[in-house]
Amino acid sequence: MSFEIFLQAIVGGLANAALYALIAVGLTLVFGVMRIINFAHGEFLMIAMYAGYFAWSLLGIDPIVAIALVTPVLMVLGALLYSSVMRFALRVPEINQMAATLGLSLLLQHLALVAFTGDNMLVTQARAIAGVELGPVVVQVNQLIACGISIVLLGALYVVLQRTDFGLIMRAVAQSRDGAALSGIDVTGVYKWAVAVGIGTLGVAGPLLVSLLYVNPHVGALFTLKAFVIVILGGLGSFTGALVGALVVGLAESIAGAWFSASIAAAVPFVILILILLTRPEGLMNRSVRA
Amino acid sequence: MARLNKQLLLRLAGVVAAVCYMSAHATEPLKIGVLAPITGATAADGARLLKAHQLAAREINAAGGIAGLDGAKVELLIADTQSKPEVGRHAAERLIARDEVSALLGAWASAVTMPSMQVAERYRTPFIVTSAVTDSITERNLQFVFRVSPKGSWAARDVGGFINYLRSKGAAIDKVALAYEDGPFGQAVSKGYKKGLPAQGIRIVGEETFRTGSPDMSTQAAKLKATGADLVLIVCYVDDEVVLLRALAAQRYKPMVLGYGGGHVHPTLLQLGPMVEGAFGIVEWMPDLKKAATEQFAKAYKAAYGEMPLSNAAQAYAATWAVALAADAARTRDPIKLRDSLRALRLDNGPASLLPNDALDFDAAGQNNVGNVISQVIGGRFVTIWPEAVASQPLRLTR
Repeated sequence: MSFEIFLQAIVGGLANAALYALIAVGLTLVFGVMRIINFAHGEFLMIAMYAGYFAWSLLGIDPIVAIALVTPVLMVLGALLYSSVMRFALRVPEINQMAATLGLSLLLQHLALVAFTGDNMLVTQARAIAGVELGPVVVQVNQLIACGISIVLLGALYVVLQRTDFGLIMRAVAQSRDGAALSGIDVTGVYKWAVAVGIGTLGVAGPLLVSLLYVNPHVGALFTLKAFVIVILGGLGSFTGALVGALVVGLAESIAGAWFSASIAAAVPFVILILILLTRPEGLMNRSVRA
Repeated sequence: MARLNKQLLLRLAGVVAAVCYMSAHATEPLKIGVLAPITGATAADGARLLKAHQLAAREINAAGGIAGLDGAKVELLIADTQSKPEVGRHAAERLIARDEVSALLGAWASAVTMPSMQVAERYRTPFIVTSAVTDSITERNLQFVFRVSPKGSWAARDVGGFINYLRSKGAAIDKVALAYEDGPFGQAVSKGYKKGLPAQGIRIVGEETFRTGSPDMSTQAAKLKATGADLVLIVCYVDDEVVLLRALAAQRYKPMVLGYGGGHVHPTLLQLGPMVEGAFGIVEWMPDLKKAATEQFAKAYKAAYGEMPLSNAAQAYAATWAVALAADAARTRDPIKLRDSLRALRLDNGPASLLPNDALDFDAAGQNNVGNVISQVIGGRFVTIWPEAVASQPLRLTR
């Protein structure tokens, strides 16, 4: 393999990692605050992708602009998800929580199949086939845009979580629900906001992804599994963990894909996951709970 | 009293039986068993196959049934294989032993077809394979198995033939590269290419694989570009093809492309517009083939179901007609005589001749010697351009 191809693999991997991180932070945020794993996360991404597609095909809105429309819609959907499913899931054992979100995932897939059929829909803009040359490496324009917006949003989220009262409250609830409640924090309100923000990030990722890929009712499932690997790798509930996990998965996948056949490359992130679980079961970025 | 009743009953039973026999004999239909995946993973394909089988049966019956059998109607006995080999085998057994069908058609995937056709062989009942492509189906010296679809390995033969045809038309194709999805489908087809193409003087210079659902194929595209191939043979599902073609375009690499199978004559691809203009695809049948039977079938299918038929529908339709015509020619419902009649069949016109060969004709192994056709995107539509004998438009070389 030549050096140029290796560079291409690194750049492609980094571009993927940014998008993966954007998808994974929402998952980890909801888990961190509520301790519920949302198996329907990918389906909300699918909804955001359809929203981006229809904004473009029906209203002629560029997917980048559509983010401003789709994100509030997804935040509202997130709040609805909290009031309809998650609020009740909090009171039941973990296995029932999983069953509830898994069921929601299948329900949404089948509803999408009924509403939009199984056909692939494409956003076809001139820039979808344009590339930018960075030395020997070519990056697709849409990849570059998606990567840039992801990084900006991730940075903004980091600032919100670390530097604002809102972030402080959220972290407080994540650390101790009872403690936060005793200090006078409205825990229910925080939960609702956490889900709204967690699902809302998909409102940014969806329109970006649909201009790169295609959308069909099962497209979310492709990313759900990856998001899980990333989140577990980095440490469940950890924001920086999701970033590190996304980098590891994106780069490993891409570099292995340049070297080996695709099947072997697809196995690499899982091998890394198993190795990390064996050596650091709490994930890369979570503080060790062992003595 | 009791004795009288018994006698009366016996007599009544006799009359009923006689009436039944007479009426049954007068209109006894030609029973054809159809094995199709009506539920399970490939249910959508099964539904399409049934539409074609039923269209053929309706046409035969509407035209007065089978003349050689005193106007007997065709009756399709449909059994669901649930896309599972075991269920298919049992369904075949039931159709033959209990329903006494004269012939069987089916059964979509090779994995389901092979156990089912072995049942037919054991019960000495003809089985026409409509769409399964595993080579060995007609290489086992079976006496009751026929196939209207081509062997899978013939795709490589036909792609080779087409590449040499392109060369003869002035296209400079020196190097060829493969790009395929790394699953059973992509691996099987590319194995055929790697085995078949070098023998026809075609040099394969590179081979790239990807997983279905990959969000980024820029590395694969860069590696394909580095091979400098003039033609890229793509084997994958249509969603991945979109990602790959965009990545190739972003690299400013514009080779000719030739995709494999139904995924490459899929409407999704046309959404890409000018980018796919000129792209080739190899497929078993196209609704625009320049044959009278094809034109009629496509029109009738569209009128009945409101959609254009796919290649497997054409194969199911041809198989149904072939059984009816064989029964007509030999004036028989008997499975063994029907088998002999199928062997002697040669249909170069009429509804069963819609596939892209001169005539529907089974060789000694039961195989219909039929090739694949090549489609090209011309003016935003898929049109058949090769072989020339059935092409609806001439080839367009864009470079």
